[in-house]
Formats: sequence, C-alpha cells, structure tokens
Amino acid sequence: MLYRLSFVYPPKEDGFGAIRDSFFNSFRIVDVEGYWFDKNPEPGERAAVVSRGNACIVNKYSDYFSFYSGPYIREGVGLLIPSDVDNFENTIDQTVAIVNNTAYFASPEEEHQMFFVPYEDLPDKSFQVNFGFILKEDSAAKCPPFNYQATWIEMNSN
Amino acid sequence: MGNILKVKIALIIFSLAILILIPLLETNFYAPVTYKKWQQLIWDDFQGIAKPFTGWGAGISSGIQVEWDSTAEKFKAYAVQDNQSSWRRKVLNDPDYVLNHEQYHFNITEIHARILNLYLDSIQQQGNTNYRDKLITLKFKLDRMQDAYDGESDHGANWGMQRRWEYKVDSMLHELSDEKGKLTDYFSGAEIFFPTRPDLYKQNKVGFRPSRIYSLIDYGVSLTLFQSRFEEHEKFNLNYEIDNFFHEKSLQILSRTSVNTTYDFEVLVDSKDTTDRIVSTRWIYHN
Repeated sequence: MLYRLSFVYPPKEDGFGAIRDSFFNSFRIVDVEGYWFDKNPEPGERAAVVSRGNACIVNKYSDYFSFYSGPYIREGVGLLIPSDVDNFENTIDQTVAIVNNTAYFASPEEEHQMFFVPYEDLPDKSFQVNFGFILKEDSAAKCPPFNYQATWIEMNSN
Repeated sequence: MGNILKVKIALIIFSLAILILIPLLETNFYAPVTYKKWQQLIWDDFQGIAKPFTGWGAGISSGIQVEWDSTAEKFKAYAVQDNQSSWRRKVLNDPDYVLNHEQYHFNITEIHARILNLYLDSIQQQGNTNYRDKLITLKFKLDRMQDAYDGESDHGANWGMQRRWEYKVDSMLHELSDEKGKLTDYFSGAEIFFPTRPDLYKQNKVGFRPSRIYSLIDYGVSLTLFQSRFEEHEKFNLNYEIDNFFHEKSLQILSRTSVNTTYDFEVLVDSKDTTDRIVSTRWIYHN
C-alpha cells in the first residue's frame, strides 16, 4: 500500500508549519484484518451466502477496478477480500469469487462487497482469485458477463 | 463670575450626559440578556455597547453554564454567549472575518464545556455532583486559552496564526466529539486525524491505480491523504512514482529527505507549485 499525505499552504505565513507537522504526525497504520473478519457474516447468516459451483459466466475484465483490502487468510475460516465496490443504486445481482475454477457466489452488500472462500477450499500453493460481480441487467443471460479483477495469493508452505 | 460659568458648564455636560444615557438605557441597559447556547453566531447576537476607544472590531462574552437535564437526569454543561455583553463596532472592514474570529472564542468555550461534561459524567456515575472546583479550574484554563488565542493571532490580525488557531480549536472539538477526531480507513489501514470530516473520493477507473483519497480544504490550506494499492513486486517503481507525481503537477522540488522509519519506505518531499504555494508531502509505502 502506498500512502501520500499532502499539505499545501501559502508561503511566508506563520502557523502553517505547526499544522503540517500535526497532520503528518497523526498518521499511522493499523491492523484491520480483525475488523473485516468480525464484519464478515458467518456462512448461512446472509441470504445467499457463498453458494459454490460451476457457473457459466463470461469473463469480462472490468473497467471498474475496486480498491480492496487484504486479501486476508485466516486458518480454519477462509479467504476474505473486502472491496469498496458500491452497490450503486442496487445494480449488482451477485458477487463472485473464483478460485481453482470454482465460483463462490454471494448476495451484494450495500456499501462494499465481501468476497469469501472457505478455508477448506483454498489451494495449498499459490493461486489466483478472480473477484467481481454480475450486474442485474445481465443476470437474465444464460452466461452473464462477469466483471472482475484479479489478485495473486502466495500461500505459506509451512 | 468664574464659578457661575463653571456651574453652567457642569450643568450642560450633565444634561448632555443624561441625553446620551437615556437611549443607552433604553436600548441596552434594560435590554433583556439572552444566553445563546453554542452554535453559529450572527451579528444580531452582539447587542452590547462597543467599548469606547477600543482598537478592536468586536468583543464576545461567553461562559459555561451548568443545567439540570431532566430528560437525561444529570447535570450538563453548555457554552453560552451573552448577547448584551458581546459588542461590535458599527463599521467593520471585513465583518465576516471578524465574526469568524469571535466564533472561535465561542468554540474555545465549547471545548471547555465538553471537558466539563466528561467530568460531570464521570462523577455523576459515582453519585457525586460536586463540580464547583473543576469548574473553577476550567474557567482559569479557559481564560488562559482565550488570551493565548487573542495574543498569538493578534486578535485575528495575523492571518496565518488565526488559521492555525482555527485548526487547533476544530481539532480539539473534533476530538471531544463522538467521532473522537480520528479517521480510520478500513480498506487501507490508515489512521489519521483531520480537524473536521474530510471528503472522500475514489479512483476506480481502469488505467489508474485504484485509490481512496480524503481531502479537506480549509484554514487556507489543503490536507490530503491519498492511498493506492501498490504491490510488493512494484516496489522498485516507488521512486519513479514519486518523481512522476511532481513532474505531472509541475511542482518544483525544494528538498527530499529519506526517513529512517518503521515502515518499509518513507520519504518527505517539499516542493512549490506555480503560484509559489508550498506543497509538503510525506510518502509511506508499507505492505
């Protein structure tokens, strides 16, 4: 992750150096993994949480790249990718994560999306996750377009 | 003869004084005092008589009032402003600027009312309602802060220091609010303090790095936290990314300092834009 703090101020004025230092020094990085796992509903608690299977979907490399957190892997729980994709005006039909040619479907959240794959389904070695969504307007198609982006995950071998 | 003249002059002065005092009595001395609880001030809140021979444009009288809140069943402190002891001169060069300066006096009082409320909550939970000593201590601190505000900002005449005080006071108010001032971005893990709530922008278009940007333009400055996903394998590109930022924005780099840090990478770069404004940046990479 790259962070840039910027402070733009007029020259030759008293007081602004102190504001800049106060702003810059207030920055820190906190561990948010626990926050997301606490927020992620247990499978079964959400209406259409993670149903899995083979799906006929057409990969459509998305023109919308979301900012996502993680990916996080918790032993015994699973893989979690929180993403800041808004379900803008309720346009998303389903979210999908694909690992090892298996699709994991979930119903969309309002403000952000949580892509989840159960731990027992994760490969032992490194693997790619494609995650994204199917739009409502496409959902009636036999093989709807899957707007996705991808990330590569290195599994620890120990 | 001389004495009679003196008496006559004294009578004339006395009569004139009465004539001047009558309207003052009507308009002010008997005018009802209202105590406005903390909120945005308007000039109508300044009904007092301007201090004679003052060099300042306005003055505010504010203080802390403790009331029994029958709904919450506890004592609660409020910052209040006295309309009859607050005054303004009729003609002001920049009334909005002056009013803003006075508003921050009121805001400083509100800070201390909130501190008192924290104290009141803590003692009332223990069944105690004796807040008098704390109020006296806070009053002393409040007066000192008001004096420091006027002193350092030169009653608002020093524009930069006025802005710095506004930042400081808003920061304290924000810290004493329910939000506690800190902003945490749960997507990036960044935690940072903004004096007020910044705007959030998202960059999600293909061709650009996905990013989340918090921006606040106030106090005569611009504060930004820019966050983008930058993967481990791209790390070798960091310096290019930084140079490119300054190049694209036509910023002239004034200094660049690498920082020995707990993060994977950190650098401070000062630059100036085409209008000579200083653009200070702190870059942090951490995975």
